[in-house]
Amino acid sequence: MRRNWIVGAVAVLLLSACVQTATVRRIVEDSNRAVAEEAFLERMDGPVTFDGKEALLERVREIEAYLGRAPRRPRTTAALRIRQGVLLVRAGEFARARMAFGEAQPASLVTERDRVLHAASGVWVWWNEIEAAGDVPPPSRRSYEAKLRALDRALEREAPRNLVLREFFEGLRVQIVVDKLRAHADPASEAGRAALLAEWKAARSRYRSIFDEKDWRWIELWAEKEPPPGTEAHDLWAERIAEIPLERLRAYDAAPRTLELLDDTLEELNLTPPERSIP
Amino acid sequence: MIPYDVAGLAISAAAAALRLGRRLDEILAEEAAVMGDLALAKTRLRLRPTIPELRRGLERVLRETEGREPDPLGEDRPRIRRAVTRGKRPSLEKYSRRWGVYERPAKVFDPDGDFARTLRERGSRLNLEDEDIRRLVYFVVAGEDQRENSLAFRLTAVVVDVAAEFGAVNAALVLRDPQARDLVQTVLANFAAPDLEELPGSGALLRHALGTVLEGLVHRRGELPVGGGVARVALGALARARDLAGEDADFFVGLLQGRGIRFVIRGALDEAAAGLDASEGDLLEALLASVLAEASTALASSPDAAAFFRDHWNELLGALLETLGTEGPRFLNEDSPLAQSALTAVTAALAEGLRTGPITAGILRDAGAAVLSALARDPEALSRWVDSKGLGLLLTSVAEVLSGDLRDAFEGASVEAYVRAVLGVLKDHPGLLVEEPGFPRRFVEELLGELAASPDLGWESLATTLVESALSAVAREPSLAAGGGFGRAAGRVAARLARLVDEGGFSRLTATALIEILVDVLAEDPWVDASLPALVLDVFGDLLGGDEASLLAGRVLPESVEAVSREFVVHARALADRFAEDDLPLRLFELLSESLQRVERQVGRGIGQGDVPEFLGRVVRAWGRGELGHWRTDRGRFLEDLDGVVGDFLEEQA
Repeated sequence: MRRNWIVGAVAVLLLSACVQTATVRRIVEDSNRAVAEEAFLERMDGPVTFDGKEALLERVREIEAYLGRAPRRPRTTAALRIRQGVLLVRAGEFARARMAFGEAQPASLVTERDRVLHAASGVWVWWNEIEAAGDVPPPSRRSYEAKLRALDRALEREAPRNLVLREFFEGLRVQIVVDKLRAHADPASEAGRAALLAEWKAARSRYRSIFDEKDWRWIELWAEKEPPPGTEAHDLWAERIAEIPLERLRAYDAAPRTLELLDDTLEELNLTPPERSIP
Repeated sequence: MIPYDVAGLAISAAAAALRLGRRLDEILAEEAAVMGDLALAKTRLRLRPTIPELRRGLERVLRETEGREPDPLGEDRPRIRRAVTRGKRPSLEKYSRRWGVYERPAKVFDPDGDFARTLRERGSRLNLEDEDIRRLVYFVVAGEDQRENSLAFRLTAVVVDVAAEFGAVNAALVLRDPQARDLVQTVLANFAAPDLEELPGSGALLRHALGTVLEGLVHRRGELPVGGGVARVALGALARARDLAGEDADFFVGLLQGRGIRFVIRGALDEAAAGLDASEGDLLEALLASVLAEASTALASSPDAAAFFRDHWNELLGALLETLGTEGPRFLNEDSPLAQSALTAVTAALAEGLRTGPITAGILRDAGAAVLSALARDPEALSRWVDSKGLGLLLTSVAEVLSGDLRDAFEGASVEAYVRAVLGVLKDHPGLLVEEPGFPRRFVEELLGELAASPDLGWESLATTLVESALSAVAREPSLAAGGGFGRAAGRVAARLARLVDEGGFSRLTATALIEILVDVLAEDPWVDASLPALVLDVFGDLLGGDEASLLAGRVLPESVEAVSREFVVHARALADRFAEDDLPLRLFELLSESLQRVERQVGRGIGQGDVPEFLGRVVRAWGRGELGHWRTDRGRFLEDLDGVVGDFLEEQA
């Protein structure tokens, strides 16, 4: 009898206090699913849908509701604010995204991902806003340069070691450089051509440097044309493909595309790249 | 009234648990927020036309419209020329838009979209439906935790803190007891294990585990099963089970709230795990995990199932663990994946098939253990029944038998033997069960109904052989299952044997051998009434009390009963025409007695004791055919004829 009474009391007390973890885990899973469905899966078959945006905003509201009622723990709050910012960027709510990132206290951010996202959020939100704005005149040359400097500072300060994360932001940097060159570079003059080529080379060199030799072997393998199924070559290829580290695959896939973007841009500016970045 | 010190302990435990629970929840929630994956999508870049492209486009427009009257470009022609010459983007864009002369439509650089397409095209070896693979491929991990204090450190701090608070009242209890320290360390080790941290619902799991430990510290100090090994297996199993439960996280947490987890952590598991070495511990962990996951799935299926598990979880686990205790080597064989399937199948079948039935906890445990044991010992049956709906029917049938009047008669090994017998038959004839789901129960009741009313002389082996023999006969001739005549006849013969055992006529061993023979006799001639073999049994019972009993020693007795029974059955109607019903047993006794006396004189003169059964069969055949004179009215001729049979037999043997 005594035992039952005590066990019951302990059990009731324990079980009454186990809601936060489950809620946060659900928020993480649901928000990831919303972004993935909108960014990866939907896009496989068509453009982003209105429902996709609604799903993103619903997750934003869930985070807000949780933060409103949960006990204040700075690290939890900061991490969820970053997540909220990411969702809002994806949903095209750029002003609110800036607010969300702004509310995340840097001192409470404890992972390299959140720290670099926070540090680079100004540039990232700006860039997404530019691209979402549609066919409008490009920012000024000075504006591009200011944002690139800000991004460089953020990446220098936080220096993420995770390859996918580094590629994410270095790829963002390449996008900005490309857009700047397309918007403002004019190779009509000798000086213009020289400046253009120098900036182009710097951007390419910087981007390539985030991958080491081992990474390049994987990149080349992933970019290799698939041999005809049923052949010995195909079996060998498939066997090697299966060994690619999946957690880096996204970066490996992006590398040749990003370098090709740089090469194409140079050609479309009437210049020939010194050599193609990917043979 | 609760003693003062116990109440104090309880309050300390409750307060500590509450504080611990809240703090753990907050820490784990923070961990989930900080370290959770993040889906981070790249920007889609729309490639704006370059200045040279804009210039080329406008130059083309100028060329193509040159000399036309009226000039399509009108006043814009000189302005466009100026814009091309100066190469300033705003002007170039302005006229390009106005005259729609982008060299080509704007391209889009879409890294994530391209990645998704590539995965679809060449990632056939990646199963993107798999949540773990999707997570690896698409999401960005948090990266290194740059806090000075790791999760393990913070959890440890909390537990130590709580333990200290707890120990302030009971310092000796917590600090001096090596068992308590060992157990707390074990829990801590599991808390810090990465695979547990990543599990949804693990907060509840950890709290539950620690709550159990606290409770154990208070109430079972000194007798608490220590065991790092046990706790490791249990917690590991829970972690794996959570993985397997997948989407059913809430249900899994619900399962944790039942009595079963406490039972697993602290109860029968240590018994089952006691004799396991390290590798078997791993297998047991995997086994329990799949069972727990199966249970959580069942729990999710309906409120009834939830209630069922809440009420019977202990018994179900008890059955599984009991079986592990006896059949461990078979179930924990790495090369036998069927064993694990069997356990989960039995779990599912029990959950589905028994939850609405009128069963008790004890029956549930017995039925589960019996079926598992039978499956473990019969790999062939295992392979046929696992994943079969028949398993549920079988379990239901076993539980029904156990919950009926025969319950008291079935204990321990006989239940397993019964189940093995049923499996042995049904594995080759599953149709029996499909056509009549209640067949095993009905048939067993027919067979054992009378036997169950017999004196309890430990006749389990007799009952088991009866069931096995009768079911084997049904397997050979399924029509015997219909109508109930065969089952009842065999049951009556068994009951007669049990009575003879009780009266000292036969040993239990002999009775067991005899029932197999007589069931065969009954099966070969379905018209035969149980009274005929019973009559033969009675006669042999009497013969064993006479001077010739020594001739029937050992295997001679069952073989003689068989030989006589077969001939007696064949000529039963002819004999009934010649003798009154009441007179027949005596006549048979006299015939066999006289025959044995004659054989006894001839033993060692051309025949041996082993020839007795055949000789008795020959005599009964001659008697049935009317080749012997009447014993009472013409005794001289009877004996003369009998001598003639003996003589013929001796001659044949020579």
